[in-house]
Amino acid sequence: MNEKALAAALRLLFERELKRAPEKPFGQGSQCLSLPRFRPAVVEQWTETERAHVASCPDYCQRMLALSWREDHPPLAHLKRYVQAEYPYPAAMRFHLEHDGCRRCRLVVELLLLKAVEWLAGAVAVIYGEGLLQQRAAAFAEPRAPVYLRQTSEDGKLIVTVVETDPPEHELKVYVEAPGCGEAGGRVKVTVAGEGERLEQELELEKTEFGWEAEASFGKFEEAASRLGEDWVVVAVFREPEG
Amino acid sequence: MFGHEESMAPDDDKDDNDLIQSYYACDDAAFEELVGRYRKRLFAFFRGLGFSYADADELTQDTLTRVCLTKDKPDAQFNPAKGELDAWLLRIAYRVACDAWRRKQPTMVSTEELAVEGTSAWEPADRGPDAEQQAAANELLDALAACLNELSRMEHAVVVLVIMRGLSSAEAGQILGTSEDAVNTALNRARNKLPECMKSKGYESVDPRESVDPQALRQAMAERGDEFLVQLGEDIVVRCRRRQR
Repeated sequence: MNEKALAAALRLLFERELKRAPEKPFGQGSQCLSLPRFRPAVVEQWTETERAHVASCPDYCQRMLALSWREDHPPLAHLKRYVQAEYPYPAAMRFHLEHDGCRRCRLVVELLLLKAVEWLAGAVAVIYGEGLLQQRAAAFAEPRAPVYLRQTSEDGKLIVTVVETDPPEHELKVYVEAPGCGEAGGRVKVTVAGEGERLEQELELEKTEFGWEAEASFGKFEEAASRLGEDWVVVAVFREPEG
Repeated sequence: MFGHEESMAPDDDKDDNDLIQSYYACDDAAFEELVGRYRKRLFAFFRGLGFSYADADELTQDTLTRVCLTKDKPDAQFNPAKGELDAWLLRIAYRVACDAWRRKQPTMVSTEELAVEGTSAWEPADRGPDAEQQAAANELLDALAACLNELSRMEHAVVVLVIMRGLSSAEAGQILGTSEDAVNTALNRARNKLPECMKSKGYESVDPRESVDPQALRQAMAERGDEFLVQLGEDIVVRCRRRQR
């Protein structure tokens, strides 16, 4: 087969696929929502009619909702309602957790099922680190970069930073800032969960010149990492002071 | 950029850039117009990369969803100063394909599966006047699709972008995030491997163009407006007539 013939055949193959492309996506019906209606900012503004339709449309609308979570995970409130069996679009969540196998959300759902985190308190920040400890296989590869993860809660009231400190201390440390914290201060429960174990600490926020802050050490990094495994999720929950 | 598909674009006053800017300015109908222009092309792109029909459908929607979500992410929005919209779409589509490969082993389609798929609901109902000839052409194209799946992912993507879509090596390099030289190297490797693979499937001396319905091919090539392809189509028609005599 000469080059021209090969190129012609390849172009015909493309033409064939273009001809075979379905007129509309699988499962889409006349009542289905347009893609812009699945933007996270819009989902919360769906009309009653739209909500009812999506709830009854697992094949297309719930699938599209799940696709929108491939870039931005579902809001924590949605995960919580799913765990409580109150989520109206369960096929979307199953698609995200099972079909897409989102490890971050699976870890969060596990924590929710274990009731390891309390969600009714105000701000919640979630950090996900995937394959944090994977070393490159080649002998000449550069060493792994130190762990540094930072995340702000959905409401902007809590900022959490996870750091692998330099040797000789070489600890796993979590820093919490609470710019949304009132004069009364508060506490933050930090949970670091991996596929192995779960580490927890409850921190008292302290007033500094920069605002309300707290920090916690989870011990020597290598030891903590070996207990947690490859993928971690760090959940920080703000609690108002009692009384 | 979509050199062989200009005729696919609907006659409309608004160009792609107008449409996406209208969408960013809250005109959802403009986004639907863009979907109408590009959905089938994206589907064929994913099929070209060897994804099954179901996966190509899902990844097409995934790509369009990601484009849709850029409305709320100014840094990720399409910028006409940085190139054409179709190149930007292909970059997103390729990232979507890479994510799919990372997520799981995709359903790469074998020749046998293609034959089954060819008889499913995805198959167009009208198979043309000469069903036997069309079937032979389809068999050959199925074998070629199977050979594409045996290439490395880089080689496969380069073949899809450069040969099937008609992009330059430089344009393909931008989409794949690699150099023009790397694209050319991958292309040369693929050009060596594909004929060998086709030979192993019994297509050593058969010119694939001879298996194609001449009328349909002539029409398709003329629609493309590509001189080389028009001439190629004419050659095939002439040879087919000779054989029929």
